[in-house]
Amino acid sequence: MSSRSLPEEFIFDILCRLPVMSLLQSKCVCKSWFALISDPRFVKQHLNRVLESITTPNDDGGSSNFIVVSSGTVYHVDDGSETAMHDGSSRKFDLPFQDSFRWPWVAGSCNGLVCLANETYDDTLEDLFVWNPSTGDYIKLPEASFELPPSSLLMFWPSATSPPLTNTK
Amino acid sequence: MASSSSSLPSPSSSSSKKFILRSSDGKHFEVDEAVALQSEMIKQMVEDGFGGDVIPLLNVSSIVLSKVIDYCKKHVELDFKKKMDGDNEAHEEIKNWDSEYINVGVDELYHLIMAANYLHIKGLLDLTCQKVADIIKGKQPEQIRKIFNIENDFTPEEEQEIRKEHSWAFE
Repeated sequence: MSSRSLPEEFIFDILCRLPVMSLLQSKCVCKSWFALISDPRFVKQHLNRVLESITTPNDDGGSSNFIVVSSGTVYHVDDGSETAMHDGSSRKFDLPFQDSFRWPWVAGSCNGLVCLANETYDDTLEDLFVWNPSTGDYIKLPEASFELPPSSLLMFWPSATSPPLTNTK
Repeated sequence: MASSSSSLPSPSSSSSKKFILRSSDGKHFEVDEAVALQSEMIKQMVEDGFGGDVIPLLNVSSIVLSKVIDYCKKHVELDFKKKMDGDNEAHEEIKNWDSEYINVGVDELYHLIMAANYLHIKGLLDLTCQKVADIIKGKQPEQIRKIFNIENDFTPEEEQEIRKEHSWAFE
């Protein structure tokens, strides 16, 4: 096969074109790829690219991924078709923080991140998690200083200076 | 594949000026001005008043240059067609031609990336980088390393750790 490796200066551009699943696999290729794919600048550039392809659809635009919560279980659906939930193209997510959840509620979503809350027995929400379904990374948000009423929707303000959700307080 | 533009009136009707490109191994290629100007690097040289008739391209061998010229010729032709016939039809033709054109081995792909970068031909650089991405897509790390001759500098434990962290991607 090839006697040379890929030109270093193009790897950023090339990897930016990959879907998330391929990126996660590619992290294992070598240390320099791992460092590049984990770099926040790369993540941001990749996100911009994906958002661009969603807003300007073309023939070979990336696939859309959906999160569906049904009967207390979180599913991943590859496309938005109505049949996807029934024909086996959906996949159950094992949430990394599942144990602490009684009944997950999608309280908001932005830029591929999902905010999940736990619906308690009296229907209020608690235990807010911001979760990246693609990478499995998540953080638990600090307790809200007020009670979140049932079916609350939380909006993210993507902002460079303030962390998500601080504006909703 | 390197079809000439003779079937069309004249894609380069604005000028019949010719340029001669010299490859790193000393071969000469005569091309229309419009074809040569697909390269931003050559365009810049011309704008800067580069007077010579022969443009030396020190980093591109004749084999690669001839392939690059195929690309430029076809895109001049198709750009012209796009103006005449409207966007949709030409768009489809460009897409089909490009995918046929870029169906090459990894080694050739590597040379095309380097040439597209050196000559500053954005469309070709885009096409080649996308092709590499398409090759990587859906492949396991060990296949990717083999194809692109990349050394695995992880210890087995480190690699295992990353796989575990993103286990769903490896299912």
